[in-house]
Amino acid sequence: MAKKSKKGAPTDVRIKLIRYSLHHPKTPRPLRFGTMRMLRHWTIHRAWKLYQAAQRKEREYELERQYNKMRDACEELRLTSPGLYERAVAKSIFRYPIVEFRIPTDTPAKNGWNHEWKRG
Amino acid sequence: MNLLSRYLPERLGGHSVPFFQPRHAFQPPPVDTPPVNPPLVNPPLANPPAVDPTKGSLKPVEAHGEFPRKDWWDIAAGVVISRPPLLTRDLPEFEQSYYFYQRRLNDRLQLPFARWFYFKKGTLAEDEWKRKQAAEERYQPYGPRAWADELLKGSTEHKLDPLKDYERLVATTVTGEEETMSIMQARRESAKEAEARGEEVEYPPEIVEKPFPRTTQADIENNTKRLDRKMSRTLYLVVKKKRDQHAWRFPQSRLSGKWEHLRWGAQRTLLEAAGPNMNTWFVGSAPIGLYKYKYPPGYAQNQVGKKVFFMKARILAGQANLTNNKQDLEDFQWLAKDELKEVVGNKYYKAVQHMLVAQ
Repeated sequence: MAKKSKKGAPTDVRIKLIRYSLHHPKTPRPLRFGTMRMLRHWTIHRAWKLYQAAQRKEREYELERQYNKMRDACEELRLTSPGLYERAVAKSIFRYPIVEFRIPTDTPAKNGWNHEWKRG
Repeated sequence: MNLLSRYLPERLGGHSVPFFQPRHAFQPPPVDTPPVNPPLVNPPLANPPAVDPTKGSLKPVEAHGEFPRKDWWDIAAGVVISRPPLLTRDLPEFEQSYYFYQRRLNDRLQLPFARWFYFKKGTLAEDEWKRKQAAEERYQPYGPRAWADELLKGSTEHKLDPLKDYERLVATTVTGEEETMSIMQARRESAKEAEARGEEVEYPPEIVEKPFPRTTQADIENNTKRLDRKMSRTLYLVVKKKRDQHAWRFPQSRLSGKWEHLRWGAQRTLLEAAGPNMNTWFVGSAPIGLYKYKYPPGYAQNQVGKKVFFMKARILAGQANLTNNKQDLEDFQWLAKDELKEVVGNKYYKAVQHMLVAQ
């Protein structure tokens, strides 16, 4: 496992790397900024926080609107037709994961979208 | 009672046993002792409302009726079929420049790259690494100009482009192309010879595969029938009915038959409207939205108007096909939410917009 030379220093290069990063003269590495540079950094940080908060709020509002629409539709369904409502809100026992789902990637697939898919 | 009927609610034939039984069942005090703390109950209203909201205001309970339904509103099932985004979203300028700023700070804060760990001394890989690192003028986080880490005005270095990243990757990192160059050359030559002889040949792929661009031919032409247009946005299917006004709509049709419920109705609607060659998945059986409109007077005998309940579906592969459609449809389009606004009427868009996703 650990090869040790005669003097006791390990020859395993991974251990060398760990020691390098632990005892490097620049570890840890605090950056020293001048006043104007610090102000710019602070401005960027504040702007980013504001931006993230706005994005988060927008996402929350969109979800809330979707939920409200769904709730109102189900309520209307319940008032018009109890039978349809029951069948709409009944939980199904059989639920399978969908194999064909794809997560978004940075660049498209080689084959692109399969427009020629046929049933059966 | 069997395993299933234990937990179903009473109205569906179960016994409504709760999952968690309380440890100590609540014992109400005997009747003759007065309650210590009177229960907090809202006092009854002085003027109770005339209509009971749980029963609906338009008609008495008897009018709900058994199957077949004798409602005063037509009930229709509509389909909102979406193609979710295939690519990550396009980052706005602010985010791109912020991430660039963070990358530069990261370069400054990390320890210098430990070349001796990755490349052994005297190998071809090390030579390639040294050559490639020296060739380009890059920001040096530990050099004399380490302080100049911010983006200069007018520079485009922060802009994200997968093709540019690929080229930079090939130019600055070790790809082993010198070693394999001769092998690749030999393979390509043999492939050419085989083709000249008339055999079917597959050319060997590139060493580092080049990514495909984020915009396709469909984007350039703005062909709204294709599904590989605007791959970072969600697209929705709208179909055109044969009439002048209010032509573009989500596919919908009235519920037919005695036993059809909303999800079946939506599946049948999509089949009749857009053909069977679409691999779709309907999300649950509850509607996501409603569009209600009244008929003009004298249009129908009993019905006041129509209620369209929209069901959510996703397309996984295939394309819509309007030949032999049973709903009198002329045309279809796959549109993003903001494009939908111009094509569909204002009133319809207002009823429908909150179901849809902007990105």
